[in-house]
Formats: sequence, C-alpha cells, structure tokens
Amino acid sequence: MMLDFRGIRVFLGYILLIVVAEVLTSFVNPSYGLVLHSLILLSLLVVSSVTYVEGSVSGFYLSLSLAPLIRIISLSMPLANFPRYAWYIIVNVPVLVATLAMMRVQGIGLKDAGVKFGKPREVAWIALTGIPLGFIDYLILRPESIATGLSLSGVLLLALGLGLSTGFVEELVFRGLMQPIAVEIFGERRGLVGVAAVFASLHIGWLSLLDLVFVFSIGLFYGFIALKKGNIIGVTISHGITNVVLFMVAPTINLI
Amino acid sequence: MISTVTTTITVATLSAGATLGAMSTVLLIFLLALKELVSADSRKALVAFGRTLTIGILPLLISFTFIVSFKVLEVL
Repeated sequence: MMLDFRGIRVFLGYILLIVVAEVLTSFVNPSYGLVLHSLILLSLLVVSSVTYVEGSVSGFYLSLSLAPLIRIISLSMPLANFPRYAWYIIVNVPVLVATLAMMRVQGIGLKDAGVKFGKPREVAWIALTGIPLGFIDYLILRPESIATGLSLSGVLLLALGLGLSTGFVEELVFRGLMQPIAVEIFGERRGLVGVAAVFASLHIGWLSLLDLVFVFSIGLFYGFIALKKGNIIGVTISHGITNVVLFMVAPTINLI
Repeated sequence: MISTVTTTITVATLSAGATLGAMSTVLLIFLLALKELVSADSRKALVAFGRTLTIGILPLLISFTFIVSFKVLEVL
C-alpha cells in the first residue's frame, strides 16, 4: 500500500523530531533528549495502534518506534558499572529483545527480515567491504583501541561480541525490519533514503559531520544491498567488521 | 563508528547515569500503568495499543533490572 503525500510528510516529520531529540541529547542536555525520545516513542505506538487496520502503515510506525527506543535504552543503561569494551554489547541486548518482541507482535519471522543463510560467496564479498569501510571510518574518527590490555581470547570474544551486537542488531532493526516496510509504502527511493536518514540521525552523537555523511552513505549502501539481495547477512557481517577494524584493528596496527 | 551507542551517549550515562536511569524508570512505570488501563477495554485499537506497549516495556524492564542489581550490589 503506497502512502499519499501526507503520509510522506508524517514520515519526514518523525525523522525531523528524531534529529531534534538527538541534537538535544548531544549538544544541550541528555535528559531533554530522553524526554523528547520518550514522547516520540509514545506517539509512534499510538499512531501504529490507530492505523492498525492499515497493516503495513501500522507496521511501519511500529518499526520506526525502535529508533527512539534504541536511544532511550542506551541512555538508561548503567554503563559506568561495565568496562568500556562491554558497552556496545550491554546496550544492544535489550534492543534485540525489543526488536524480537516487535517481530512477534507483527508476525514477522527472521527469514522475512532477511536473515537467510545461503550463497556464501556472495555474502563473503559483501562482508569484505567492512574492511575498507572500517579503515575509512578510522581516518574520520581516529578512536583509541578498546582492546588494549586484553588477552588473545579476550580480543577474539570482544571482536565477536562487537560484531554481533552492533552488526546484527542494528542491521536487523534498520535493514531487516524498518526498510522493507518503508520501501513497500513509500517506494524504493524514498524508503531507502528515509531509513538511511533515520539510521544516520542516531549517529549525531559522534559529533562529526563527516562521520554523519559517511554513515548516511553506508546506510544507503547497506540498504541498497539488502533491498536487491533480500538478505541482511552480508551487510550484517560487513557492519560488524567495520566496527572491529575501526575500534580494534586500525588503532592497533596504526599504519595510517 | 557505525554504532548508535555514540560518544556523547556514553559520556552522558557516565556523568548523569542516575538521573537518566530514574527518568527511564518513570517511563517504564507510565507504560506499565498505561498497559493496565488499556487492557481493561476490548476495542480493537486499544488491544493493539496494549500489545505494542510491550515493545517498550520489555527493554526498559531489562534496563531497570540492571540498575536495581547494581544499586543492590553497591549497598552490599
């Protein structure tokens, strides 16, 4: 079901609200951001319920509610009690639970969300894009290694945890759930760009305009691959590898 | 970093963790109360709303469990 012009404006309005909430969180006061994100979440849940008779439209607003929910959860978790390397994993566990709950409510299976195993060569080629992307992102952000002082087994566990938590959870949310419904109701181009914009807006907190442009481009790239292949495994691994290279490999070898 | 857990978020949770935790707990209580209220009605839109509230309640419950566990450990 394609939405009319008004529906697209509502989508744009929500993207703008999420951007404002992220700006408040990052530049003004995180508490204000948390309040606005909570209001956006409630509003999306209400709109989704009101439009429950229009299946995919309701499903879209429901999937969009994961965006403010991601931020609410990441702000409310007591990260100070955990070592830095565990933060990404700790935050993404409740996000995964919310995502699975949403899939259950909507009757969406993992296969429907593009979690399909097969075509290993194709998946491997897509996954390998994570290596150059990780190095490019390192040139932009120049972070310190989060693996300093860890044993080899610790480093491997961290790489696996970081890859799975950031790669799988975020790709499942944005490319697996949000994008297919957005494309169905807004069309390919608008759906792709809209979801990439939502994805990029949640990266405002890295305080780098260049990184924001980079993440938006990555969102478009991953979105295009997921759309054409109907599978998110390749982009999930690529996403995970990008973060592992950025935070563990590039700062350690320090070649660039 | 292609992660929604950004630098400012981690800085915020480290510096104002208690305030943000309390605010999210208030949101959790609000959602739980709302779920109780709408579950008393059988209109389809409200039944659907009750189901969608679970999506917000579950992760906030996990977050709340973490917060309470660490507070208890601090006291002990």
